[in-house]
Amino acid sequence: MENREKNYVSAVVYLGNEAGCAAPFLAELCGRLAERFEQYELVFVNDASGDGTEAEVRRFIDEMDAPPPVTLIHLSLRQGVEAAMNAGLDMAVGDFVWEFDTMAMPYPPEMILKAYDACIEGHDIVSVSPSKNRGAGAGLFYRLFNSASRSPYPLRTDVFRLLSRRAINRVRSVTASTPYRKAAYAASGLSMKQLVFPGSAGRAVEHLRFSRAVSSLALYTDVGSRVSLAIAFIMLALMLVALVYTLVVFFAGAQAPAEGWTTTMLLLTGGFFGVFLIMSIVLRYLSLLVELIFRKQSYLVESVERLV
Amino acid sequence: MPYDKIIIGAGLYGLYAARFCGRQGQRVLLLEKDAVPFSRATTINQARVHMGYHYPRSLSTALGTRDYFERFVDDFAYCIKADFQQVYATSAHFSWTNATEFKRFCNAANIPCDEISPDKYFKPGLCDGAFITREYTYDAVLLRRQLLDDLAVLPNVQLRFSAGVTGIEQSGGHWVVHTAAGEREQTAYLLNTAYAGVNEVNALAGFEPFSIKYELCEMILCEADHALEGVGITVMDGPFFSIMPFGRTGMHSLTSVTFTPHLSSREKLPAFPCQAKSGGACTPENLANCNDCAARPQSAWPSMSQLARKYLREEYDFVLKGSLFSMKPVLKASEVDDSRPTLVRVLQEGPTFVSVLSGKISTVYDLEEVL
Repeated sequence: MENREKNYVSAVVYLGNEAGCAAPFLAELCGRLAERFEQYELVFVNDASGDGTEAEVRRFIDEMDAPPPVTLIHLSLRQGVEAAMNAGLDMAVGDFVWEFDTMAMPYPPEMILKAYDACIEGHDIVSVSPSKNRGAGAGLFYRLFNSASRSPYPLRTDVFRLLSRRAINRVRSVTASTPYRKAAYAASGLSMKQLVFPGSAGRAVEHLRFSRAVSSLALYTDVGSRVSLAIAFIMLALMLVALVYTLVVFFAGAQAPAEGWTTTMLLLTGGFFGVFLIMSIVLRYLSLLVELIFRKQSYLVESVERLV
Repeated sequence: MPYDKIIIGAGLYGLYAARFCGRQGQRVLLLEKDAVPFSRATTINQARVHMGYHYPRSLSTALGTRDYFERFVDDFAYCIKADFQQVYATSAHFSWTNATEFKRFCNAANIPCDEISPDKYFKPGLCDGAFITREYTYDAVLLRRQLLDDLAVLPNVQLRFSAGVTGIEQSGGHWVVHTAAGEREQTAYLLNTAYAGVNEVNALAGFEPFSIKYELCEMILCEADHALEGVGITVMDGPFFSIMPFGRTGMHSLTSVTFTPHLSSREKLPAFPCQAKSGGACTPENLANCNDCAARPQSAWPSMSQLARKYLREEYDFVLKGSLFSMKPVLKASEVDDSRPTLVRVLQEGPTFVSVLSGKISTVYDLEEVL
């Protein structure tokens, strides 16, 4: 008991509709944290869950012998795991913060403290993932994201994460908001480690929605602006070809085109050419704007070393 | 011979009332349960002389507070510490107010508020606004010394300590007050300034209790590092903290909205589970001094300091010196707007029974209208 660590740690837990999971999960979590740390706190975020998950948590806390400080955040309406966990993260005070998006435990419970060990070894962000990626949609998204992202850390399905306070501060200072935490952590520029356990995420559901996937791609990668810019350029080229073809037919055609065809074609191709030209310029400005509004820092530093 | 007034409770309100009436030549008896005046909430609180900043959700409280501030600081200059910088900040998350609203509120209340960069005191992204304000702190020890000196020259005022009240009954045009020592004293005017004990005294006389919630509160004393020495910091308005000079003691008080209250009770009288461990010394009907209690809760220093350090930049550090505990009554009606009205309730006339409840030191002047 005397050898417990002085670090103050927090666990942020998402309460969706997971009745039945709370007691076994909390027993493992609290047992392990109490064994290792002198001080820890729990922050629950109730995302307007109505199936008795919260009651189960309350019962567990009531029955604890020496409960730690516990905070329960009630969200006004269901806002999804990203918003909920951001709220929990803002509330947590710990030097190290666990993020549990779910109370299901498809992983061996010792992973909870293994993540901490990895964190104090110097990895500010530790994410714990199953060996099997889950779901075709999620798999496709991760492949697309990882191929377009410049971060050295690929995204994959994970079941929980551990962040140092430094990582939280960094993530908060790098971008204006955190619409997708996983991507934000990977893009924070700090050292990240992925721990893998054998198996799949099981009941731990992937909470990624299509719209969030699209906005993550737009914010954390340049895949969106690259694709749209490419399309604009292709259309631009096509119009140029059509313009040239019209002129060739007019000057060098064997027989004269139908009355008015040349003017119509000139107007059409010239007009569309202009439209796509403007579009590609506008797109460039738009991606710059996103960059300017979203990114608050122009470069990312992992660490600074003094050699002499 | 009956007293003109009997006052129950030797906090600031009790001593102030005794002095006020004593100077008018009235015969006054002040009864205090503890051995020393100011043993509870008058000493054990942040010692903030409020200017109104604390109530961004209750302009009426803010306006009243501002008016009393100047008067209190003039009258009690001997116990005021003014030479420090009082910083208010609005938390970027979970706050009921924000930088723009706070500024607007200060303008409406007409209290000084100069915006500075939050980065000077806080880690990035945690506060969306920071303001230099004008607010002071009082020293309870100096205040007590002066008030006792003032009372010592008034032979018509009697102070009796370790004199808990055990019964109050009406006999004709008088109240008969029984003390723990078996004394019986009479008066036509009874003033109840027992603060957390206000309902206890009301109950003895058979009056309705104030509708209050009791909170067993911890205030931490700490020694501030050089950078924090001349600075007081309050983060508004929600589950945050405050660290500011504690009178002229040279120490800082550290409190937080979530960790300062350890236990709460919504009963009419303060009923707490820890009373079972007091060996009968403390009951809902006879609340003992939480600060001297063996069953006082374990300190929340780890959590409170962690919260403050989450916000403050590294150089504003502080070390633990000790904790003080006391019971704090909060009006149930104030929970939404966080207002702190002074309640002066005349419960009966002829013989008169007046109960007072106020959470702020500077509104002591509200008493004068009934004395």
